[in-house]
Amino acid sequence: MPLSEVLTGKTGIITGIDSGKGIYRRLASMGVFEGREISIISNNLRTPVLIESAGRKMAIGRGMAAKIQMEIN
Amino acid sequence: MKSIRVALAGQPNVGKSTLFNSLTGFNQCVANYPGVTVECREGKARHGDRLFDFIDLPGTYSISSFSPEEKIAVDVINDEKPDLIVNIVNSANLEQNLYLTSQLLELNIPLILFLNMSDIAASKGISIDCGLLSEKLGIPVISGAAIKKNGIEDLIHEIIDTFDKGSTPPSLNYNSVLEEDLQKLALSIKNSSDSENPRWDAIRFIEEDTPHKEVDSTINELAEKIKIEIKNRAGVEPSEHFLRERYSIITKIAAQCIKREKVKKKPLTTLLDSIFMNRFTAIPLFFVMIYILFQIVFTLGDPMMGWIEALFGAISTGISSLWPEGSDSLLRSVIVDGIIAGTGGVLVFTPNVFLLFMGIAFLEGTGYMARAAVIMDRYMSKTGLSGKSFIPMVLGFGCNVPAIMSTRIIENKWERFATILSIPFMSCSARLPVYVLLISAFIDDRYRAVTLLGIYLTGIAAAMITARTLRSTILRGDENPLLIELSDYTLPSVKSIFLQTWDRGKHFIERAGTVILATSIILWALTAFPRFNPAESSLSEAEAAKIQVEQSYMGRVGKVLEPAVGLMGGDWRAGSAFVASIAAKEVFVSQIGILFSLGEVTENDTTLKQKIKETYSIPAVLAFILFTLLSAPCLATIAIIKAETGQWRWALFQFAFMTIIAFSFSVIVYQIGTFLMKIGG
Repeated sequence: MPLSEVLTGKTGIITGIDSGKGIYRRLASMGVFEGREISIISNNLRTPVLIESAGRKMAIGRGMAAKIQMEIN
Repeated sequence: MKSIRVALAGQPNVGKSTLFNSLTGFNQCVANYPGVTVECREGKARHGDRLFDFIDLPGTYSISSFSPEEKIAVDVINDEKPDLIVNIVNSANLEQNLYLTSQLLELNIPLILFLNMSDIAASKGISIDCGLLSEKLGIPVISGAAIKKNGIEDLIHEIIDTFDKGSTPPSLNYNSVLEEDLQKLALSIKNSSDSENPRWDAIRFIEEDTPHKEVDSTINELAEKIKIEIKNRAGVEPSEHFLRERYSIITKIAAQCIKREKVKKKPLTTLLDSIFMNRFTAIPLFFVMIYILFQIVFTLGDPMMGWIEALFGAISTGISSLWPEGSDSLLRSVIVDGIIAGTGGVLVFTPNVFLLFMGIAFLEGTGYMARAAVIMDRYMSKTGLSGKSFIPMVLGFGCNVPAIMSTRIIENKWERFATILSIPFMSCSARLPVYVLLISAFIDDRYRAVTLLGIYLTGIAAAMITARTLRSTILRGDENPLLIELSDYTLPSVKSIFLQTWDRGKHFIERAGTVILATSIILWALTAFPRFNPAESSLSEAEAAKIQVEQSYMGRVGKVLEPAVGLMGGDWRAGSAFVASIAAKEVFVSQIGILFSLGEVTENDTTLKQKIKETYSIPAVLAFILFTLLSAPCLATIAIIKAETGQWRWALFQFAFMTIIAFSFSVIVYQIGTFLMKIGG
């Protein structure tokens, strides 16, 4: 399911990112790419989603988050 | 002895500036790149008998030359050719940080890894086996905490040792098939070009990072062939394949070298985020922060502005006294009324600018600024901007100049330019005296506050519409979704706040100063020429001043513009007062005072209010207010737009755009207002 719909506290593996090359590399250089486990620190379904990936906390805009697919553990 | 040239590289939020500051002290300068927010600092240092040149590269997550920061980091490495690179990483976040390290290893430049923030990592139960990490990566590893000056001495010793040895790091070992491809391509590049690092070039060819340099077609063909093979083999783009390969090596190393223990104590950052990012308290707390920033900048800054005004007043009195009283020396006039008044009018903002940058440096240093951008993103995205534009916009209420300079926190160029061009619609404090004069001339006490509020809201709406329009037309730019790291909250050091404030603040003085000096002399000349020599007649000083302005070029411009100004209900006096107010909005008040033969007056002068009431109609005054709100704020703003965008055309576009908007709306308001009044009776 899209990351934007995963609720606070869930953990899962990223399975796909549907974005242009530039955005893909920006995400990947910050540690968000297929196969990486991430946890949702906070998602209130209105503001950017806060996630954690290997110790790094990030905020991802909702539009972007909708294009990231993940499988919940 | 030749100095050792050391580049500091690291991802954002790893304490790179703190390390740079403790290595170089105050002996540093900023290399600025016009039009971009990226700064690259350089500093010299002496440790023992060795000399060092440190270059602080912009913080980047990788060096694949996509963002402006990354491009500059790569360019600086290529151009400056450092003897050695120190890669600073956040120990609490080592695995993620090693991605940049994996790329730096390929550069064929001696590399040292500095594990910063080891104290924070320890408090989180993270311990790193430095010996093993050094062995796995094949480079020296030093652990420390720059903010506590831990490990700095060790780092300096290691820099000297590594430099003397001059050994370059071993490159990463990718899987055997990929290695074979790389070596084949690297060999071909080596044979048919003068490449200094064929392996790195081969990697970049496959990753498609650089626009292909002029190379032999055999290299291009081979690279294409290899890319197709990788795509068929791995089922993904070659660049993605590389990326995953790097991460898989990193993850393996990280798993061997990093040990985690569970700590019971909840981290401070989690606690603070549960307050600052909480869905109920986030926005109120954000406004409290803005309010405090505003108070610091304007309330604390105002008395200091008073001191600077007094200083310039004293200077101009002092210089004036060199001439006999009543002298109309041209030299005296150009120095006092032109140079001192003009530059003084801009330098008076210095305290606000420095206080603002101090506040911003503090908020950025603590890690709150990134959170503020996240909090406001939802609202700002409706205007085509992001959360990061909010603070600059709000600061525009105080003064547009520092507000425009504070847009440096916005990395995306298009978004930053759209913010810069929208800020001047936010009604700055210099416009207030004009509103006060015009409102109180006509409007009853009870409705003044509401009118004033209406003016400010109109300005906000104009700024929002401008931003939205620019972002969907000429400043659309690339897709730029919000993606921002939320680093742990920290208390920034006083030294780093001071240095950052000074770095940014001195550009205000330098950049605005030069243009302002030139333009204030021009504006002075327009009012001072042609000279009017009052015969020894009965003319009072105020009358003489009026005639001087009236027959000056400025006055003539006002008369030429009279038909146009007439469309919004004004006469030549209003016209030349508007022209003069290009210098600074509040000049409108004194200029129109002079033209009504009242001499130098303030906005509270009752005779002036009376004169305005007798001369202009209500719709005309409303049109004047609107024109004041919507036209270009002042020369300093135009100069700073030029400085911050790096191009005159944006500054001129802004000026023309605002003038057209302001004029059109003022005419509409005056014409409709007059029509309604006619109907009404």
